[in-house]
Amino acid sequence: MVSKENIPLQMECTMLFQSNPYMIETVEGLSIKLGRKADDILPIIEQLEQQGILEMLGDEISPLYRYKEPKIIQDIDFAEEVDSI
Amino acid sequence: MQSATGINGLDIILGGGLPTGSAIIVEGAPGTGKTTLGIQYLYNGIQQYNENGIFITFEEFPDQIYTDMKRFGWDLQALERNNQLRVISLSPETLIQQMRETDGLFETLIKEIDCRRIVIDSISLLKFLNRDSEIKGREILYTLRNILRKFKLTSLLIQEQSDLNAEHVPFEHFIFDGLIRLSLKEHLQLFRQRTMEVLKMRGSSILEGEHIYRITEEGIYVVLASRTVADIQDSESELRLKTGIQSLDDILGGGLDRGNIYMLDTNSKANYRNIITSILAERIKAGDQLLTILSSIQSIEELAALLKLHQVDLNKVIEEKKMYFIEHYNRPLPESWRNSVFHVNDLDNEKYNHFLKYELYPKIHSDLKNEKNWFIYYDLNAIINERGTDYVLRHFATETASARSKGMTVLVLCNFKEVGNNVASFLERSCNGVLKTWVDGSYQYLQITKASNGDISKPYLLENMQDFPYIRLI
Repeated sequence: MVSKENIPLQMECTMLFQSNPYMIETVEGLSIKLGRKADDILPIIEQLEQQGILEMLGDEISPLYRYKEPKIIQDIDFAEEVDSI
Repeated sequence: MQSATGINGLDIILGGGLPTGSAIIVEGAPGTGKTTLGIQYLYNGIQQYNENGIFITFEEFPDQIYTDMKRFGWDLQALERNNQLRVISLSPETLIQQMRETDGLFETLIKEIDCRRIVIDSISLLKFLNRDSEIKGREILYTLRNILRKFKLTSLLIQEQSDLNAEHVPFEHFIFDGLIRLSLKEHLQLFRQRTMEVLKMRGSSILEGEHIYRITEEGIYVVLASRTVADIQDSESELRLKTGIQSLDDILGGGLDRGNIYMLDTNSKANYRNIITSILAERIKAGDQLLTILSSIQSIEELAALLKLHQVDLNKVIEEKKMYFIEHYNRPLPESWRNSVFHVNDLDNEKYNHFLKYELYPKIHSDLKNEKNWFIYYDLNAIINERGTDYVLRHFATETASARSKGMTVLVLCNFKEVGNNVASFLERSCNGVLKTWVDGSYQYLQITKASNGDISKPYLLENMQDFPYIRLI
């Protein structure tokens, strides 16, 4: 489980990969791209990998991560639901 | 085989496109449009030539590139969805590591989309991978080049501008197949002008020089330096007059245009006689009627000797009434040549003009009616010396206009430097074409600085040869 305080960072990571679907990065590279500490990013990346959002390439000594595009992409419009609230 | 860029002007500069399978450096300062050029090359490759491509960026976020390129109407993400393009963001270390690996990520990506073109932005960062060892840095670039070649990818490798004034030529300029330089130059003091120059392209004949380009709403648009608005001209070969110098004919697009006025601008050191003689000899051989204005430094005897070297017997030509001379100097002549020479040394400007109008022109006019072609060699230096600049300014435009209207071809010899800027500019305006020859150091050059088709040539080296036609342009 990702702790509550880590949710914003998980969102940042997911958004970064989603907007740049052919990005291939090390944890250090992601740390530079996001401007966050590598130590904070590592558990999040592992979590995203477990969730099947990211894919790990290469060996475990120098792992690389890339976005695993979902098989089905669907745009959902919540506007109406939001208005009714 | 060439891989066309589809970029206006650039393919003409490159003689069709980038050599297929070559690795070319695109060098430029920030703001010169290197990334745009790279993406445009890939986008056109997909849309126009059915060649898929990969863009590798080390520093930029792909989503920034998607957004930036939308201003040109290029939807890169749509191409990615169709598996025609990949905009890949990774670090330089990862790229090299994955390129080296058997069945690594690089190889997989190439196969995945059947990639033919690749752009790497930028190789400047690769050099920093081994900051401590120049040899290691070289090794990385060698490896990169070899892998790109192995996959037969036509590659553009973007590089931050190297110091133009540096004596040290960057190593990568040697190992890669070509170099395109984009520059920002000061223009009209207030503006900056973007220019493109192809400095190296292995195995290709390129259009040399700096060409201006603009970043338009359709991307990079190159306007060729040697193309100005062209006059309408008939390019049929019989309307081209051969000069007798094959390399000069090639530069002129087949030869001189019949019925046009050409100026040969030469300084005193340059040897122009072989050029003139070759053209005159060729006209004689073609059966044209010739009229020549002799100068103080060229008598008929000297001309006869030169023509003989070009396989023309002047005695025979004169006998057949094919060549006439205007002589401003009182020089002795053999009896057999007298009827071909008009002596004007005792005529003042007014009488000379009268002679041209009422004696010479009617004669030429009657010959033109007999469908004879006239070629006139006009030594303007002699007219300036004998009749003054004012006379030339007053009558030259009228004379050339009259010649042109009668379909006569005129070759004018002049030294622009000697006559001054204003007169030179006036003379240049009155001519359809200008050939300039000059000596710099121990070498003579020739350049077409004005042509009826709007082309301006690069300066050619003029080499003297032992054998006919004695000169060659290189």
